[in-house]
Amino acid sequence: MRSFRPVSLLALPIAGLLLAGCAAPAEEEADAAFTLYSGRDEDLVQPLIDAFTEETGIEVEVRYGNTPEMAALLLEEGDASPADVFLSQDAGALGAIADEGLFTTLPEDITGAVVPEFSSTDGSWVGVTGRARVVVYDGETLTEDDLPDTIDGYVTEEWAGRLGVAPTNASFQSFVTALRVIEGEDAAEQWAQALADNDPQIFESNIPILTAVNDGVIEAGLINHYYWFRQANEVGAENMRAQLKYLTAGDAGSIVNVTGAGLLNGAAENEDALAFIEYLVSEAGQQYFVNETFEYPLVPGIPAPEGLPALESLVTPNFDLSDLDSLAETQELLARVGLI
Amino acid sequence: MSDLVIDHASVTHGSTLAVDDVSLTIRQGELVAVLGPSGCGKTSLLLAIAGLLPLQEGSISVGSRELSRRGRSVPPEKRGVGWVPQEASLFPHLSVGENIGFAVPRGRGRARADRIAELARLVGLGALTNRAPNQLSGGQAQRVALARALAPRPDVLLLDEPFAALDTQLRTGLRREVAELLRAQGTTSILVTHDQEEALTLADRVAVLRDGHLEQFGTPEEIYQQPASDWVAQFVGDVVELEGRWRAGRVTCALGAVEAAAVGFAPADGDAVRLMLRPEWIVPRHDLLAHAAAGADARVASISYAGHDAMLACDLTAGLTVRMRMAAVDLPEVGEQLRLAVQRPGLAFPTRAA
Amino acid sequence: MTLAPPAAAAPAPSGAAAASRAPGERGADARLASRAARPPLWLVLLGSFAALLASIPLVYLLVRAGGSGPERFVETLTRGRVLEYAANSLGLAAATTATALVLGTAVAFTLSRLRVPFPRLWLLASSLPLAVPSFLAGYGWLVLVPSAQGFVPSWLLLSAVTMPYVALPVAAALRGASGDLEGVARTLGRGPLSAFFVATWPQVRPAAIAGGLLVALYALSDFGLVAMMRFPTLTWGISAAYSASFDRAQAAILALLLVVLALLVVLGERSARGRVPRAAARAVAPRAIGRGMLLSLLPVVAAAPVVGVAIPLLGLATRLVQAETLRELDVPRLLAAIGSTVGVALAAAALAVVLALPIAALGARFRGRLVSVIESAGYLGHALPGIVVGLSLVFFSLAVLPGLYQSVVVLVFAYAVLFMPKAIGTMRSGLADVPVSLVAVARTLGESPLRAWWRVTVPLALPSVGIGALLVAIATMKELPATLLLRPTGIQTLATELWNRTVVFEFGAAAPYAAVLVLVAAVPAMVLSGIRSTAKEEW
Repeated sequence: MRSFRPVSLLALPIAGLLLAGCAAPAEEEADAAFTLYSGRDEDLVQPLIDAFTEETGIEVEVRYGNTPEMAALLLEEGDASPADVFLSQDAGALGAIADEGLFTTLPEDITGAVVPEFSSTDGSWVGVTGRARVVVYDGETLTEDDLPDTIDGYVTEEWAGRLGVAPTNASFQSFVTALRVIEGEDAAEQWAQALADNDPQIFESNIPILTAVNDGVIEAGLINHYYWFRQANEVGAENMRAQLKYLTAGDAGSIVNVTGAGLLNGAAENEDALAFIEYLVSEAGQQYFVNETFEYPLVPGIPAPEGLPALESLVTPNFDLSDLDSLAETQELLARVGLI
Repeated sequence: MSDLVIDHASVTHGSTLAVDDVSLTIRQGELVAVLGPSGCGKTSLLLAIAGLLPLQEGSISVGSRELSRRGRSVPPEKRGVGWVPQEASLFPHLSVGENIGFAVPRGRGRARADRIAELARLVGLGALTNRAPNQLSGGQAQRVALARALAPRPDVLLLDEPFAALDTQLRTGLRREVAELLRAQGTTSILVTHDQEEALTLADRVAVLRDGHLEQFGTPEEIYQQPASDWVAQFVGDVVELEGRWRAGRVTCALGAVEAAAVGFAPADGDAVRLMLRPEWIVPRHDLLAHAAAGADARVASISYAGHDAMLACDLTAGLTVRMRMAAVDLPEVGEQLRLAVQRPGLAFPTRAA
Repeated sequence: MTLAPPAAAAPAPSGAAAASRAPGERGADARLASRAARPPLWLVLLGSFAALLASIPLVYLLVRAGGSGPERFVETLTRGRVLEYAANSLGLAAATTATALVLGTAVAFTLSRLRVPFPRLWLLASSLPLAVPSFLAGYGWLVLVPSAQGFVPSWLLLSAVTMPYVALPVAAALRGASGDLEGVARTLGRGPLSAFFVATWPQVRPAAIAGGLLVALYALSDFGLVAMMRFPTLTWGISAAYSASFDRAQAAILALLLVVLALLVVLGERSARGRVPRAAARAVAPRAIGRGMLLSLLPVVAAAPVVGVAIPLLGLATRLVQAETLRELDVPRLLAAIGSTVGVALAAAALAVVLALPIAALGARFRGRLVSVIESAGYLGHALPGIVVGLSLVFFSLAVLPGLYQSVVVLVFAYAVLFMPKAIGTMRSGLADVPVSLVAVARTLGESPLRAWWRVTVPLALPSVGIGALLVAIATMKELPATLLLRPTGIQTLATELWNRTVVFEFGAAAPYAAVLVLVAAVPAMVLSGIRSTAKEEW
């Protein structure tokens, strides 16, 4: 009978750490010029970064995650953050970081390159691409004519229990924030109350809404346009049961939210980091997003994807995306009416 | 000399006093049995000597080295006290050899292996060192436990009812072997047992414990022949108890005027006392020795035969029944009339308070 | 002189086997055990240290929530749906725990006490739900049954994936439990079920209840599945507070509410756990049963593997067939992900075991308020969603060890905090089963307390340490939110690779990672089904 030596247990953590260490691609860390926190996914962003590196010779260290979690991470890290650039999928998150004073002001030649309606007004971040709020509906049970043209039409008795929304999702809250800004607090709260009283189908995010509509589980829902284009690209547009309805320009229901980028305080002097943000709003960067994500380019002169209404037709007059950072008030409103 | 001295030791177990003011001096190389019924505190005393229980009062020392005192205790691993627990408690994850060698330092060369082999041979298990503990019989397991405890050459070895779980035959043989082994090794040993026969046959001296108190400490013969109290008399062997009156060194009772020694008190002539006799002290008249002047007529009522000897229940003419033990040669028959006598002085104790 | 070799050495009840008999029956063991009223200082210090580390998330939450003042607490807690969230969390945890307890015990009993074909294979199948991340299980179900949403599906699916936490330890305890008592009860006129509850249940109850605690904490802290199934619980509310409002104070207050619920559960388990009234174990041969009985037991035994493994995998496969994103698999990348997943899982398992060891040792032998506090603190991390623990370690490592931030060390540490409770319970019972007298013997043979513990207690409790380590390793492999926050930049685990692809709907590309994740996690799960609960069984 062999006696067991507990000492050998110690080998486990060491082996584990070695294994984990070996798996880390060491070369990336060696000469990276700056660190990017990407709130958008790796499959989308990495080819863009590879192109950037090829063109400029600048190595980038990227950390991928969900935008909200990345924002929470940046807020938690504060000035100790290793991040130089934050690429966010959502203007609200950019606003939250800017509110904490974690962004440094971008140079005018970058912020001036994009349509001003889709960027920050104080230069704390720059818009990169846009995506429109749309109504997705079940094309087998409804036609486009069955659908109201304004957001108010979807909280009537006729629509009771039929509409899917994701009130805890940032995209929905950006939309409600826009509603508050455009229609005023009282009107926004009335609409939200009407929605809450109308037995809405609550989802966690846009994708399950699209899935539910596409599977015929619910009749319609509020999402962003590009989710539909993505899935259509996956399974083929002709196989899509779900269809899109664009609401009237100027209605909060057709608000365009952006993907944007900002430079963190610690990177104020980092030319390479700045060069990356510049690349995002260059023709190459913009074209890449259009081709891959079906989102709106924000630099004038770059053509939008096929099948989309013109970006100009969706511009909400007198609306500043920077106002989307008043999320706390939106939260309180949604909480008051019992949606979150 | 490194005698083990237990000086006014008290040990608490929960809120009760398990060992109460016990003093014992055990000479080097001596084998002492601590005898008492269940719950008398003998295991607590043992654990206190091993350093596994703290002392409430008093002290324990070996030679000039103090091991325990209230609030201060040399840890078990530094006391030089070995322990053979009741259930052997072999380490189930180690082989027999590894169990024996548990306390033998790992060194270079064959020294350790040699020592293990030597100990295994010593306890008669030379061939079994590669076995797992669960492949051993109960007796073998106890041998391993003994070898394991002897390995670090302890000053004192403690044995906690090591034979209790064994069957009778194995027990008798093994305990004699162990006792001889311990004497040969010259190890000071304390054997805890509730079996009076075990204590009397093995030990050089016996300490009788009752409710945490030391009742008596003496040689087996003293304990048996001259018990310090009626409780010890009754606990260590069979007794025949008779009511009588004290008169000038004799007790007048149903067996006549029996010569007796008063234990622990000084009766006056005419006082009522209790006479205690061992059954083998009572003999048929033809065996009567000179100093046994008394006698009584009796009829054999029953015989319980035990091979080497037999216990007879005899009805006295006076109406009492006494038991007597005699060698199993030439036994009388049931119903036979005998004239009984007492062949050595009995023990006189005060009558029980009514 | 030497002793003569013993005659007729029949391997009868050996000393070692006898020593396993009821610690605390009589003699030295009882005295030594009852003496252990006060734990040694070094153990208390080690245990407190581990408990303090496990309390880092709690400290973080108090800092975050404390800055906002009492009126903010009241406002947040009285808000429209918070009470509903809390009620949902509790209801889901209670229903899931009850179901997992009943189902797990039934499965364990069937597989270890009744003669069923291929018992080992069934036990292995029963361990497989452990390997399926709950979000994956939820996703697979939704592919096939898109309307599966709300309480009932969440409850059933969570019960299926958590059932092994009860079934495996109970099966092990049943193997070690005495069957004699049950036989005695039958001869005294009890029916089979009644005899089980009178005689056998008390022997397996501590194992079942400890498993139930893990199930309850799992259900309280799960986010992936309830998010999929659209059942709003507190974790949903916490996630919303972070992701919708970037409101860390609100998230912290909700998380504290979750901690309170978890503490209630932990304290409940402590009072329900009781002591093991262990009788001398004698193996029981499985009882033969008729074909009809066998068929009626099939759904019981098959429920969790089918609901928790087969159907979700079928759903994933369906989506895979539909997907058009099938493309060439990046094999080196997959291998790297496997490597880092296995690596961090091993390291996390080892660290969690090391941290859990002193806490389990305290819980195994000692009672009292301090021990209770230390043990409860050890369970805290398991009640919190990964994002909370992740952020708390961001906060902690930047404040204390900025040099280690975003290193494997902090990541592994986070896993240990999150999953330590999985090791505490099993190791506690493993350690409690080591007879006190063995340690005392080692002391008299010249070993210090710590060395005696290392040479005797640890090796004897090793099977339970192994079980704890495997449970932690499996959980680590599946973990996502804390991994995303804390992993070193550039390191991908199977879970993050899977996430990379599912966020963009590339199911074709995601499927290999999902499959490999389940496969890799299934390896320790299968090992788990084979390990015996305590060293004693091997005696």
